[in-house]
Amino acid sequence: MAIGVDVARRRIVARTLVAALQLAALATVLAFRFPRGFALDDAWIHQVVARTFVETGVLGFDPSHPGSGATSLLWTLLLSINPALFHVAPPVFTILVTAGCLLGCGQLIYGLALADGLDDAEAALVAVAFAASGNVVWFAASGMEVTLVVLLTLAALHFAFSKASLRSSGSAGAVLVLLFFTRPETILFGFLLVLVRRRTWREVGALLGPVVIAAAVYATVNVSHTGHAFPVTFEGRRWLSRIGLLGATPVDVGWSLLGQWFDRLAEYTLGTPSPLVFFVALGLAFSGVHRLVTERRARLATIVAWAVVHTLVYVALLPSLGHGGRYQPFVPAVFSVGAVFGALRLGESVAARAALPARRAVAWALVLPLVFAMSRAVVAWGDANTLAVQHEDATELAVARDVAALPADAVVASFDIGAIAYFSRRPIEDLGGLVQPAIVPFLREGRAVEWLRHVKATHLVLPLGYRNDLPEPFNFGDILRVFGSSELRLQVVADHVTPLVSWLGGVRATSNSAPRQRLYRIVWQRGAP
Amino acid sequence: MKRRYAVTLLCAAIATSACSDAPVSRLTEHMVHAELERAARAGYPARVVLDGAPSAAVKAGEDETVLVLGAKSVHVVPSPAFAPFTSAGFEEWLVRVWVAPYLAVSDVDGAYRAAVRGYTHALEDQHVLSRGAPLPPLPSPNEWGFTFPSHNADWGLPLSFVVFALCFVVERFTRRT
Repeated sequence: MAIGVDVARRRIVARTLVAALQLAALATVLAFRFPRGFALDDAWIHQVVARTFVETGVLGFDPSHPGSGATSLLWTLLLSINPALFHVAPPVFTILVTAGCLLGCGQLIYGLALADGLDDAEAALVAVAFAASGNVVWFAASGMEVTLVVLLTLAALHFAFSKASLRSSGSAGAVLVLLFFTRPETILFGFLLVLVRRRTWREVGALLGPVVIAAAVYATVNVSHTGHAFPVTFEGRRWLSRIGLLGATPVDVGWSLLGQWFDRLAEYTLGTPSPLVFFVALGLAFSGVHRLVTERRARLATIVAWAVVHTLVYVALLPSLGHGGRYQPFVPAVFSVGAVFGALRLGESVAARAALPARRAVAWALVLPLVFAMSRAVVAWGDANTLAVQHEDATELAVARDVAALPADAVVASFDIGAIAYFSRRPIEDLGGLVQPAIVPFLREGRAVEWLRHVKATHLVLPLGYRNDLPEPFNFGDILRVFGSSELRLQVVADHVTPLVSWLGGVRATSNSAPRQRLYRIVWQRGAP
Repeated sequence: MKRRYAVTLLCAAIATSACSDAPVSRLTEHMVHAELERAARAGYPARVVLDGAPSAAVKAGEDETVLVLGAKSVHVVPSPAFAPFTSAGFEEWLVRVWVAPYLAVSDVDGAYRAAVRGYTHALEDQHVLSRGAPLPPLPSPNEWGFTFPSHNADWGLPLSFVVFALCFVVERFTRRT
């Protein structure tokens, strides 16, 4: 009895410690204050969709295009609770929701590690590495659906590995439906869950049936609205991710993404850009993953497998890391877990002949430098997030105020549509292919000007780099083939730019947006549209 | 046991062979190839060669324009069709506007792409090439000297596999003894 009480007390302490470390990491990333903005413009797109839903009952950026603007329907539904009931500042409401999700992730991964047979200390270490590492914590601060995706994935895993029964499979199936409506590509996770554990056919049906039906309904609704089974936003994001890879082979694409992840993991999860330190840590991560598999830690190994499968899906369909790595959130989490677990087991092996306390001391001595380095990454995320939010405020929000002041009959087209639509409170013609898939062929063929004429645009907002004469990555005048067009002349109405050093400090971590937003008046050269 | 060692070594070998410390990446070669094909279809074939490479020994009057990329500058050997461009100062413009920012930070890979983009841009400016589909943006020159582990994958990934193998061997050794 006393032993049982001791175990329970130890676990409460461990769970509290995990939660406390997560909260400390989140507070550090948020610079110890409630957020006043978002680092990403896309976070404002979700807020527009949530507001539109409350005002019109249509879940979409544009009420005439259901499902437009945001892929994550469940996330925007959750966010709509705020404009419907509470009316607090969107960043504050959002961070409260995502902080809850983040804490839930910590508790779930701790429970999964315990269920896999790790002891309390090891499980706590795995939970902290997974859910308190810099990049993962920043996902919660980003205002996006990422942390909810991780939470629901872990919840589905938890139910799927519970005592084999129809009920647990059904619970996992229900969570998979929620997960699907948060990120549609996660439907594959259900199939992975079927593969990793033997079940009866009825259990398989209970696990996969609901999500397959949900996917069929979703695809049917999409086809009826847009003619495409995929989400409205998919084609636009796919165009954007592919434009930088013209001529690349699938192998090139895979290596390019892997290279980007190396750089991101080194600096923003491990806390150092040093190649030497990173590749040693990567070796430890390989070893940690290998040990998880050979020790038959089925739940944790499934997460590793999902990280790989999920990333490969993106390589095939949408070759991009997304802002701050948000498309593949399991990669930094699995890297952290693998590295610390590899170091822990290496230490135990090195001191295998020593007494238990000495063996543990050696093992933790190898882990601590990694933990120290990773905590530096959390601090780096705090600086980067602050700069990124300031940049967003100084450019996207500032140009939104200019757009709000335009005449009522102005038709404004913009590539970035989140903050501009939210704060100007006027319809914005999307130039990124997130609202209407019909624009994507125009973008792909360099005929955005034709689209501008089609929508009778009078004003244009473009993200730009510091120089407009070079095809830099952020020169959307060149990417959209608007610059140099003989069809129109562009007159600058307003220009907002962040100084280089501040912009770099934010964009390198968050990949948030171009350094400049410029509002133009369009002067059509061959008669007004 | 032997099989596992073999698998580990195979992984390491694949990783090593897939990475390259060549100054120009395969990704860049493929992207540039697609871009130059467009110019070739318009009757202006071209290629880029690195100065000092065997293929850099080129003579004027060949059918295709050759952009010889050196450590500090670019030398253009024009085809007869492209000769009017070089007479109008193309080479100086190519270096100043396009290639110099990359060569200034010893980024041959970026300079390679910029040289080709400058070439196709010049053709577009003169309406020889149509301004069709958008082209991939060029990478920003690394003026701030940031360190990228991915640029060191040629030795880094094998190092990771050595660390992995070391952990594996230590664990096996301690388990046996």
